Amino acid sequence: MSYKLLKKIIIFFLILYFLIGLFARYAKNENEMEDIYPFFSWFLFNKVPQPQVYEE
Amino acid sequence: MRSKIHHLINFLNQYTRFPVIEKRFEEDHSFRNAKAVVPFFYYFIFFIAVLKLLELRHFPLRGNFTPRWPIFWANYVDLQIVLTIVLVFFAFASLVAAFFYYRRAGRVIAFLGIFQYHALLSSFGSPHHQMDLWLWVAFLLIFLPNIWNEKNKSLEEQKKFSLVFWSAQAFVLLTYSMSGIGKILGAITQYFNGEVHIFALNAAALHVTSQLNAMQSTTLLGPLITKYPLFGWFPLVAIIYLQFFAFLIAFRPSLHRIWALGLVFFHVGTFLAMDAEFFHAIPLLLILFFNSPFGRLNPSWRQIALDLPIFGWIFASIFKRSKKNYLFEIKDVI
Repeated sequence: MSYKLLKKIIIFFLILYFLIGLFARYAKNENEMEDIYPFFSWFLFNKVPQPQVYEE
Repeated sequence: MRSKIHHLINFLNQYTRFPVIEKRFEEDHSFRNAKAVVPFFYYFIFFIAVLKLLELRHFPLRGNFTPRWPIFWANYVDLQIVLTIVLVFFAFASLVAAFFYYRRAGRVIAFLGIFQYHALLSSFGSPHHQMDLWLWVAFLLIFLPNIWNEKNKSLEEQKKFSLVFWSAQAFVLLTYSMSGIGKILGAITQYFNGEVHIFALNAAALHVTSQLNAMQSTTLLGPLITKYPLFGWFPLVAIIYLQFFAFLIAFRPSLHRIWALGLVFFHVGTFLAMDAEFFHAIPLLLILFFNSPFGRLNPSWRQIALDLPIFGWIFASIFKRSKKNYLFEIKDVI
């Protein structure tokens, strides 16, 4: 395998991982858990809990 | 049709040229440093695997056991036997790789061991992401060329070795960028919904309070941030900056060490503030970046400043007025 081909494969893999992670996050309903094992979106702590949530 | 394919190939070639980092791939010392660092990945994996053997005494069962596809065989075996097989195989496989890191077969076995363990952890309801980075880096390092013997080394093979090592770095940084992108997207959504968003002055305090309430715990920095939200605001903005631009840093070797240092502080800080533990990522940051084969131990502060996302672009435009030559061309940024 040439260096150039290997580079393209690696870039393709990185893009694929990113896209599958996004798909795992947004293709599910809100009630379903994000899960296309072993991919992950890494969208952790992405929304701030609103004040009324923790005051209860 | 052929000309369209030709145009597509040219387009892809144009946007997959990374002159700054690829120059480092051609350097002999980059290859030697990468070759020196790789074994430590497997040494540490073995250390983790040995510690996990303690779970033979008491495995943390978090829910119903529903085997993930890599451990499909667990459907036919008693759970206790599954735990024993997976944990022992993980330790054995990582020991083989620690000893035979220079053989692709050894690296494949290590990957299989981590994969089985990772699948086991993720088979109790929600996926378990602590070992995600180790899993995928172990997968990528399988593809290192077998040029540990100096006789087999050509420039092409040397570049491929550095490229595969770099791909492991790039992958780790990509996951941080994905997290940063998620935070930015969440901020945009919450802003337009009229909600408190992550750039609000009390965002860190809200995160900390919510997390500590959910965990029913307290932390060293939690009460301080809750009482004085501004103490958490700047670190939170810094974390978003570190995460969002992390993947870009893969192409800027002068920032590898300092960015990894920032991410280590991020992990320690989130634990001390909100009891969110993700310590498994820290050794990986140390191994892959603290002695990055493509960086320099003492890069010039001007190079670092010019390479910083956003700030570097501002500095570069300021320097352009007084200097004709950059340390690098703006078009070489990506």
